[in-house]
Amino acid sequence: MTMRPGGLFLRLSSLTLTRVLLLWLAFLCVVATIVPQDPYPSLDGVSFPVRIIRLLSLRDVFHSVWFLGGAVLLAANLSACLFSRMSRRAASSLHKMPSDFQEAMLGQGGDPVKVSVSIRSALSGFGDTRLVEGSRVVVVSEKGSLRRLGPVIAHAGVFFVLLGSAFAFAGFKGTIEIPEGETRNVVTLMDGSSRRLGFSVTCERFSLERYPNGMPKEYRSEVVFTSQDGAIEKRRILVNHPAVYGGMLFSQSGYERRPIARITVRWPGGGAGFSAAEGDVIDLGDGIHKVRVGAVSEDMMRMGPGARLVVSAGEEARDLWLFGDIEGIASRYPGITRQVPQFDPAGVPPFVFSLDGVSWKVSTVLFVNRDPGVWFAGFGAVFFIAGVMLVFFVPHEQVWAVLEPEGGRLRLKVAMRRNGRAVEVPGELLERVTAAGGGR
Amino acid sequence: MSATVFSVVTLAYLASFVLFAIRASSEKDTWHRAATMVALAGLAGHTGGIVLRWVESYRQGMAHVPLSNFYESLVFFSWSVTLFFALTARSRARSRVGAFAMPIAFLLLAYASFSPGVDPSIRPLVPALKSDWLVMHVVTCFLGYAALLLASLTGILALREKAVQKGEPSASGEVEPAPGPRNGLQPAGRKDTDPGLETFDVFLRSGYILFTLGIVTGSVWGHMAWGRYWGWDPKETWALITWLVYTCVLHARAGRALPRRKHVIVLLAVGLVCILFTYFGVNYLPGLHSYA
Repeated sequence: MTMRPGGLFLRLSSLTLTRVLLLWLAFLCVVATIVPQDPYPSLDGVSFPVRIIRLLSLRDVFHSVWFLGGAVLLAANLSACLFSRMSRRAASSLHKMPSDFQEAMLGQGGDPVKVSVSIRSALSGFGDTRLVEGSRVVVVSEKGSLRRLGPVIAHAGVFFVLLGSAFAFAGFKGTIEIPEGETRNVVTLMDGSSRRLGFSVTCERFSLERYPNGMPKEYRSEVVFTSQDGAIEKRRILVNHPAVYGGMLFSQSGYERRPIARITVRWPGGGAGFSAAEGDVIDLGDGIHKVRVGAVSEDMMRMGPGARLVVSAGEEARDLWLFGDIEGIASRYPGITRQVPQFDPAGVPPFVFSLDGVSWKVSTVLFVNRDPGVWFAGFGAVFFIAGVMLVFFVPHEQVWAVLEPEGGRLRLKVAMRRNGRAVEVPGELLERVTAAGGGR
Repeated sequence: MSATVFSVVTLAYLASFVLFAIRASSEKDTWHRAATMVALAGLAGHTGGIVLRWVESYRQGMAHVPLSNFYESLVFFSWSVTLFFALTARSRARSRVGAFAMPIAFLLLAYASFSPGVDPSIRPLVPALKSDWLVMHVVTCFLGYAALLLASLTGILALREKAVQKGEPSASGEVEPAPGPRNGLQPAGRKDTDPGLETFDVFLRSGYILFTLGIVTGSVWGHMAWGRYWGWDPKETWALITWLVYTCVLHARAGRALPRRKHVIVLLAVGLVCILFTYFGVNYLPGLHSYA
């Protein structure tokens, strides 16, 4: 069955449209490297009209309607071209015989069917031959017919890559930072939002090897994945050696090294100790007071280890600058705890704080990617390369030899197409056909 | 030691370029032969220099293929351009390929050898570069760059020459025979294709497939190293732009309704600019590809 193409289909399968779309996408890519991009804006609380404006904006070209629309139209153009080509192929497995042929009267007459047997045999080395009988005898020889599938395979490949990219929208990308010895089950997505993984990841150990000149040599994370039913899987993640778990790819993205303050708090009749990093909030257990760690340093204000705390009770909050060697500082600067009340470890009664020391805690940073389209894109790339190789390196050649009885003799016409275009028949082939037909 | 070899090779490429320039104004084939011999000798030395640098990296305890920094990429880019000249040294368009290839090879190697801004020292690999994909990605990309660069230059020249000839309406490069029969089963003896366009097609096809392989191997490597096969890094984006432009060139030359030759020339010129920006220009944009 052949398709009778309509106006819209013709326009959609047009090669001019392909060229325009390719250049349009290239232009948008250029724009994306010139205009500063904001690719992962937080859309929490953003109204629908503002979301539409964002889609039209060039601040996020690759998620804009201009780019996505172009890609969708290119996919439609590819599909139409594929359909059109396959319809043509289904209608005829052969190209039309070129109008430019070379001809001669053979020196002897005879049955054209019998002569054609010799010509078929002469062309058999060239490729598959077939015989078409009618008012005249036509021998058609063909080789490299697989090439005709090349454009279909290559374009199907691009279609699969586009499909894979579309499926990627159903997944997510983000990072997960896990301090050594701790467990996390929430990933921070690129737009800053959070997503629960459905399993947990523990970083048992993170190591950073360096070359003698100080350059990083290897990052290595020993992690344990624990599923909801308690099943455990140990994995080692290095740069270029990611781990796949739960349909997600975990890659070594980097690491963080944070100072940790070891703090003791005493109050009448009790006390407690805790370790905290910058940004941590500690509940002092009385239901009223909380401590937020503002900063931790090994050498705060050139006075040794220190931590800046904010101790809050409801609406009220007080700053506390805690130093490991407050006694030494007080002896060097007498009366400093009165002049600067933030330096007074007992400045938030009834509590007395002390900094026992500052140590370092290392966290591994893993990039997490769930991309349901990755296999489509991979297959698409393989298809594309295979298709292009067929088109570029496998010539499709067809040779026609036509025998027509004329006045008791036979007229021989020979023509050739290479990759669909009429070309001169090579001299050696021409001589072979002529000799087989009983000519010179 | 390898740096000294590259300096000598740079001079050989300069000499070859000068000989090709003399050949352009002289009909004597002696100049062409001399230019080719010097270029091929330079290529042999260039190959030896790359192997020597590899050996030096082993001796320094780093043991990596010399494809890991800007200096080494310039050296390999120059080698790739000369290699493509060598592969077409027996073609009918060899002189024009040499006239384009040798100054490019000379400039790239001269920039690597003599620019104070290019650090020739051998350094250990950062973790992201410690991958088997490094060789596959860099080799395919730079061979692709070289072939596409030569495709643009030879294509622009060949198509401009065609434009001044009569009865050559097609941008495909193939001459459609006049309709109707010809008597006698003898080959007509005329050429089906122009040698310049033939060479252009060889470069375009080789460059396109190599550059595509470069993008694909880079995507696989990105998937392994960074956790995603595509991240719209400026290098990736400009590689895609270059690929899209040359895809457009291929479509312009493959279709039945061929566009005007002038349009193909413009596309080839745009492609040339894109290659140069993808290699050099992207270094001025922030991204994950730390060198060319």
